[in-house]
Amino acid sequence: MDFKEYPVTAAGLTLNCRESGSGLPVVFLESFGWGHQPLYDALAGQFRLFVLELGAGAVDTQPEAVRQLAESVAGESYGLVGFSQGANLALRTVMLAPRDPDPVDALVLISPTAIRPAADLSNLDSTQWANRLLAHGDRQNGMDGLPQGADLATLISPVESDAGLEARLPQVMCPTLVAFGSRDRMTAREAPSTYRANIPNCHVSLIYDAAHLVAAERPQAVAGVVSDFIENRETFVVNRQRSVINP
Amino acid sequence: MKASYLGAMGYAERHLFPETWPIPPACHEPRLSVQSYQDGMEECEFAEEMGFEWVSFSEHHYSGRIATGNPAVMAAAVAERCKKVKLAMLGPLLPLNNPVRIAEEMGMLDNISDGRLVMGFLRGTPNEDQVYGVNPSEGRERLFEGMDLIRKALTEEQPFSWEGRYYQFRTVSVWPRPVQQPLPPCIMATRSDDTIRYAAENGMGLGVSFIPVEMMEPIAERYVNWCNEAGWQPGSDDIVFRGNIYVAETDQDAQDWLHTLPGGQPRHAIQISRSVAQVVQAARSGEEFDLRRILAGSPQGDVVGRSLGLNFLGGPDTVAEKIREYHDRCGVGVVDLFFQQPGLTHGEVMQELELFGKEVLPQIKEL
Repeated sequence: MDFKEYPVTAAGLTLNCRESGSGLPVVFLESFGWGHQPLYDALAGQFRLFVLELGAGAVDTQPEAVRQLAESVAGESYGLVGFSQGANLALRTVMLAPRDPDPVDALVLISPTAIRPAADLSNLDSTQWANRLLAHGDRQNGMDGLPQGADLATLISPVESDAGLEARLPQVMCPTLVAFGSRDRMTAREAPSTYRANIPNCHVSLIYDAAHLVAAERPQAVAGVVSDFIENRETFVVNRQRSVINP
Repeated sequence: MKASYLGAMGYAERHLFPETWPIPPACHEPRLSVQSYQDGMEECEFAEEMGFEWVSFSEHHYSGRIATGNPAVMAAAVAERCKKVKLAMLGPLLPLNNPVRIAEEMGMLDNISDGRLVMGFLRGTPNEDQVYGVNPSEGRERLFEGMDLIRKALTEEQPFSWEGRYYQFRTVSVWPRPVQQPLPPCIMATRSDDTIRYAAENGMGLGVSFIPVEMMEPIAERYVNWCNEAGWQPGSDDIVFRGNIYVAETDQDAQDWLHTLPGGQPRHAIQISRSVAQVVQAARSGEEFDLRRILAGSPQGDVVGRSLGLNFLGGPDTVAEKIREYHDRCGVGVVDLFFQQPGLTHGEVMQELELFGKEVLPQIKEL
């Protein structure tokens, strides 16, 4: 897919935006984009996708600025998707003072680390990071371009756990999908069920045989469930594929 | 060391079956079948009385030799008859089944039995690949994914959806959860290195079936090494061997019985068309194959099937010694025994169970 790039500015924040596709607007908060292009291509095939490049700045970005940026590119109604720190920011964005109608149609948090981050993430070397972030980090092929060392830690490490954030999960009113790799080791084991138990309209999706970099490891699977959810929201649980073999 | 009774529930006249699989339903006579299940459950009860600590169940299809197409149904029935033994599901043929359904069955069985379930998983024999239309080349991957899904389904606290390679479920919320927390003991029945390693890395036991002790020894050694690498030491119940047994009063009696059998061996072979066997084998191993050549080399009626043989044959001391060998050389802590040899009556199996319980079990229990 071809993406056009342009800067966008709101509330004093300027970000690079990549846009492609048509249809329902979807804003993707990108804090770490390694291996994400297949996912972006798949989403742009179905939606009008805006990728806002936050990079390491995702940690310090104000949610209000993100909301204004998202509305400036996507309009009054859009799906909001984030990965890792981008997901954390998306979560904080929908926790802003409620609006009526809520511009976020559907919220998708991919591998969020906002609550219950793993406790043992300091001083990991490159090999340990690879094993932590990928279900098959021992496979050397396919890891070209993966940032190393301090860069990786900056882009991917969860920030200090915000204890208040977990208590505010019930404030999230929009339909929410939280996707984790079945082998995610960047958060505690109970993180998925904590989202599910506390966000009123929340669904948890486990992506088999993937760790934290779930979109890099299983892009079609992530694209499939994210697209289904944005398109159908909570009714994505209903299978409408026909199974007739010989009518 | 523990003994386990394989609850095969064999059809009484299984020795009259044709040799090729599947066995036609026309061979089934309902009253005989009803009695066979009653006999099989009585054997399980008697095994418990004689000191067996496990009863195991195995999924096999389209034959009355092991007449437990759904082992969970059988385990539930036996759970009501036997109140002490572990119920070892060794096990569901995972690639053939819906893993969520298996998880639900496991949860129910652990509750029905008040925490006596042992979970086991395996891929199954090549003929079983034909039963529910699963592509044999996908069996291995379906097994791995199915195990991961079952373990998640039995341990997650909240509903979730599953985006797998072979399975997609948008709502999974298994009820009831197991009584044994976080999971009942799990055993991987395999001889393949990749699945042995999976078992070791995931804290699972190892189950091996029907092979001689010298073949099992290196398998067990690799398993233990990989467990150690994964940071744990297998316990006494973690290495299970399933074997065929015939125990008689004396070694000579056992040999005499053997000589009464056609061909001097019990017929365990599951014979299938040679061409089908070759295609399944090639698909399982991911090899390219020339179908025309296979078909040309397999004339009509050409069948293949290997005889499993008897792992334990003889009088009580001989059988005990052979079982001890599996313990000493392979670390086997549970020996799962298939008593229902073709041609044996229910009464003869009961006699064997009594002999085993009185004269063999005391010799191996302290191992």
